[in-house]
Amino acid sequence: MVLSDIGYGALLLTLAAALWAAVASWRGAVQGRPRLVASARNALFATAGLTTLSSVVLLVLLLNHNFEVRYVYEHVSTYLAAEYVLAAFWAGLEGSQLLWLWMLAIFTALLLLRRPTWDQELRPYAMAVLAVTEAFFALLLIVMTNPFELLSAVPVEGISLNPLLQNFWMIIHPPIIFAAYALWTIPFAYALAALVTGRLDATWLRGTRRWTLAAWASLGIGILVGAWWAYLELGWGGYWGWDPVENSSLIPWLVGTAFVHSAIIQERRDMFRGWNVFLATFTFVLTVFATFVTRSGLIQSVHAFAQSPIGYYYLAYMLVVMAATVGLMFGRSRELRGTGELGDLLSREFVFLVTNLLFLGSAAAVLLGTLWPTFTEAVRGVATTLGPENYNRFMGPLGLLIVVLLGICPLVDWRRIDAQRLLRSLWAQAAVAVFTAVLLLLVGIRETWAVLSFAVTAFVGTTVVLQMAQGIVARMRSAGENLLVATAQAVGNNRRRYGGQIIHFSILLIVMGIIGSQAYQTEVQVALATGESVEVAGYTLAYKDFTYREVQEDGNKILNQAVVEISRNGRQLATVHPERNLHSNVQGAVTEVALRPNLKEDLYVVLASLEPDGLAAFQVLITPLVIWLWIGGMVLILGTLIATWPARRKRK
Amino acid sequence: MSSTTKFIVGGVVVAAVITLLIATSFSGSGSEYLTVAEVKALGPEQARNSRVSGEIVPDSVEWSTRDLHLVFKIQDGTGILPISYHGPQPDMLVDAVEAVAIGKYDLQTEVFEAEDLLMKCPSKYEEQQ
Repeated sequence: MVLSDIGYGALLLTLAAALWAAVASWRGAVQGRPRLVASARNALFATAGLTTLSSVVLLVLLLNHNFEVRYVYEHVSTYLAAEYVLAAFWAGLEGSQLLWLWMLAIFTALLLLRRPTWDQELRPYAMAVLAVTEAFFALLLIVMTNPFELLSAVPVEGISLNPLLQNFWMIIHPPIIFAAYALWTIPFAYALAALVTGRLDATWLRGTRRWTLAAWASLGIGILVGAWWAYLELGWGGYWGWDPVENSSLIPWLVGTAFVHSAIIQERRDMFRGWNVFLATFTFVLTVFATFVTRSGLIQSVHAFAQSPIGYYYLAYMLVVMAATVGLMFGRSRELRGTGELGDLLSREFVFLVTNLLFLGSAAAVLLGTLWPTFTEAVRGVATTLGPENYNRFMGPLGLLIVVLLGICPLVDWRRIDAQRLLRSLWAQAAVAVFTAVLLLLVGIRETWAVLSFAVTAFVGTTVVLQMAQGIVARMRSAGENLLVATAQAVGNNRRRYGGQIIHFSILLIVMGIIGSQAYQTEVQVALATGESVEVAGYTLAYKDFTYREVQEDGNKILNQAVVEISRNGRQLATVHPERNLHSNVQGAVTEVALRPNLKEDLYVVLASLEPDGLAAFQVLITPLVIWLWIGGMVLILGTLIATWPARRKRK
Repeated sequence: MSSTTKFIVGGVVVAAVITLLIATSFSGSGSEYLTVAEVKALGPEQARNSRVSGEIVPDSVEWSTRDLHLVFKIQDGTGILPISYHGPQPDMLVDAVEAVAIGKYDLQTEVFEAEDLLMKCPSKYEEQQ
């Protein structure tokens, strides 16, 4: 028996085990037979083992260059560096679906390792939903996109991995995204379980809170890592192009963010029960949609979609999930009515509602924009695509409104606003905002929207910092603790609150990065001979030397690079080496940018072309504040860790 | 007015404002997918942003490092279209690869002036990411 048969066989067994788990857990729950549920649990553990086996087999095949296997032939070669074999694992449809399934099986097993506590009644139903999802992906892998499919003849060399994907960040970006997708399955599974059992109070939200936050944060981090890859590798100086692939991961993040927030209202005020069930399901469906959109060809054209039947599988699955949820919601309309009463229109409840609408509105708009070519082609016969300017026109104002609400929400009380108290508590923030605006005008920044956006960000940032400081200062006063102890104690005792505030603060850092980089990018394109130099926004770039090769020396890469010395006000800062390499497997040139980042701005140098005599074309970009996107991402991880860290066990 | 009514009215107003904002962002812009023949058939009053794609005609690529100027031709079965682009050469600009150009067709020079260029990876690769 060959290795690839083991991988495929493991997938067949995974499908069988997942189907059994679905049936057994469901029947076990309905008929009250715990032994059936226990058997389903074992079957789900088995799927974790089997998918691990299948993944390890694929990895070994890739490492061994078993070109007989089509997926191996298409994605690796003997000259591909070993670390990029991992990137090759999830470079294609087959591998990425296997990764999805594997992650889902692992997270399901982790969930089942803990004894049921609050979810005694819900868990069997949640297991059934998870098992059906596993079965769906296993079925796709078996009948449509088998990663272990063999070629009739064994090629001597593989096609190798697209050079654009040969980047460290492409090794970690897909697993983070697919981990996030798999994690979103868990709140969805419990939402359905809550519907089936009618236990629709906030218990299921509280119980799955950690999974939800982990899913939300992983998706956000995954998107940022993807943006970082695009910035480093694609060589156009941007990080986000409103490309369908990017949009499709942003949409579930936006809906998931709405869910995370409206879950809080249900926990606190027992409102929006049905809404939360719907959002949990919808986020999950959108993660499936994301996989579907990027892989079905729907966006390229309706005709491409019709050519590959895999799209129909995805479409059918999404429809079944939505129909089941909506159907169950009708059946449970009585239990979906919460006990909470709405407060005044000027209340925290209403601010939360508006936040929800803003997130959903943004998600709907991005979704509509992504599908715009498909719609226009179907309706008018001519496909129209939207450019970044279309997206920025609605996402700018909506994003800014969300940021404003982020600043106002913590100051607004439940049920009704004390307007006077609110206004009195705003003076410090207002002062900081005005000060920021004046400062920006003084240094010569004139774009209204940029000044406005920065002022709003400063306003909200002050709110967040003041909110965090209040608790700490109170402790220092009352308990006489010093700053460090008070901070540790305050954060330790209110992990959820401080974690949330740190996450909000990280979002502000990201917003700052976005505004700065969108508003003030400087670009210069220039051709230089060696010895010449160019001035860009205060930097001097001197083109010193170059390497031009015509034959390949190692791997499939022909190295071409320029040596550029960067100085500012006569002081030398660095020597950078932008590259433009020829890759024989794509028979084309791929640039590797040279980047010199600092907290204020990034200097980004692209070697656009190099002649044998050394004449070189450069594209130089100076992008302010872009580094704060990545710093914000790290703060976001910190905030999520604080918010989700298990509380210390209370002594009995 | 009861709280529920207030919430519904308030929610609807907010939703309407959001919808309006989105609608205005979408209207009257974007670029249409056209074939080479359709691009060439555009009248002077129809000169607007369009998106045209086709295979790069072998040996048609001319690049000037000095001016950062790129000229090449694409063909899509309906005709051949010369494309001009000012800016850095895109990665993987190779004969027979499919190129997507976004820009305007110049009726006088009969050249498509691209503002943006995308290279579709050779079909043996999956789409990026």
